[in-house]
Amino acid sequence: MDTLSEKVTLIVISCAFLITIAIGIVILVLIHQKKQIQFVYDKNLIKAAFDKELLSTQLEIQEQTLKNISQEIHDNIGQVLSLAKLNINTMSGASPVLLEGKISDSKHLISKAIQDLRDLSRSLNTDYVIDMGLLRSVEYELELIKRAGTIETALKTEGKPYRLEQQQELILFRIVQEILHNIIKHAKATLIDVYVQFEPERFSLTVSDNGIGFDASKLDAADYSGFGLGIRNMHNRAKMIGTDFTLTSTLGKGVTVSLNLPITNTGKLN
Amino acid sequence: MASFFRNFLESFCYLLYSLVFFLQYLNEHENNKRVLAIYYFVISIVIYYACRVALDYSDNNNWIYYIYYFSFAILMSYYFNQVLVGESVKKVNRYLLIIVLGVLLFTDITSYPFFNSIGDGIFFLFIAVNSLIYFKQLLVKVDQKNILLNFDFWLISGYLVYFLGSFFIILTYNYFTGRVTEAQKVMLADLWSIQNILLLISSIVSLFGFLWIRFQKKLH
Repeated sequence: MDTLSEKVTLIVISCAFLITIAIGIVILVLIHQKKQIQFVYDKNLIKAAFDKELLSTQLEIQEQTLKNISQEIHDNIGQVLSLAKLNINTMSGASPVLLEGKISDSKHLISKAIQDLRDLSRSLNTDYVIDMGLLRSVEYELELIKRAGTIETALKTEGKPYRLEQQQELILFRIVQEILHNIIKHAKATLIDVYVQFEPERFSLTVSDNGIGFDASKLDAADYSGFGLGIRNMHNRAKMIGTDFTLTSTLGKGVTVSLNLPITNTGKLN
Repeated sequence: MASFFRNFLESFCYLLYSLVFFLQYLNEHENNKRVLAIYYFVISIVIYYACRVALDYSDNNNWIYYIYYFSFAILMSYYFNQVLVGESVKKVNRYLLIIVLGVLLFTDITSYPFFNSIGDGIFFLFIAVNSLIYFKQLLVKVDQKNILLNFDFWLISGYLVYFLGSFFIILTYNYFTGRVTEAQKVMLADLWSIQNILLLISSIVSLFGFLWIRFQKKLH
């Protein structure tokens, strides 16, 4: 009987141990599931905040783009068409030789206006940028600037080209576009250099010019809060897609802007 | 006298473990599962041999268990190094392994040919502690994946049952050794049957986990 009761005691203790462990594991699973629900909720909140910021950035880009259209039309296309109109207005009463010259000039000016409108339309068209990819779109922008005749451009690439995510390429292109516009408007440069590096773990794009530059040493480069709105916006947009934005400049020695994006997945450029 | 629960259940359970790891390796192609499958298969043969040595030749088989505990401690350290995340935790695992191997070596040599309850107890405690560290990690590093679809969770749950239970059994055996009568020694031997039953439960939990995960994946 003693042996039997000892055996029963042993079995009871063993069962109690097993039940305790089982309860412990069940409690662990329940706590884990509760934490998981909280984790998913927090993740959705962060995603919603990110989507909101992305939308806000896209609207900002659209606003900027409209502003660029307005400026382009006013400064270039408007001027060209005004000249063409002036030529046409002065045609009556002109001698045949002069008239031929004015007609030829007017045709040339109108053709330039049409071409400028086409180019403007293409570079503003998001689908075009997505189809051609970042590299070709930047190449095209540099070609347009070179065609204007006042600024020389050079594009150098290193490594086998690959495509980034659509959103990343679009935002990077708009940043580059804005940099190029700033150079044309303010830098008084004669040369723009663009250097693109395609490394397996990092994408890098650098735009530099030989213009007048400015003294950036006294401004806060950590978050660019001391800089103008345009540069701050570029920095924020770059940060949103995980890109490191660096601007360096010295008075009289031009401006260099570097964009560095760490890569997790890469595609192949067709 | 031979008893299936006391003598052969252990070898059977290791064979069952080997099968579970082999199936898991075919399913997920995880290298650590392949290593565990091969090891458990070899150990099931070794433990069966150890039982036969004790039963057929009434010989001391403790040296076989010393080799088993030594190699298993190294294997478990390797496995937990794979599932635990964080360099500091992995360092703790490695340092614990060095201590456990040192204690096993010292106590095995000094206690041979007798049963080494201190060294074996620390061996079981080492794996139980690693299991608890893993569970703590599960609660701290939460992600979207369902914990019940994680095979390592089922495996380590089984390990906790067996190794923690074995640690208490070893302590109990060590305490009562030298204090019991000859008649009571027979009852004390039943502790090994209980240890083997815990091992059976542990292997069934792993098998259940594997089948549950397969079933859930087929459903979705």
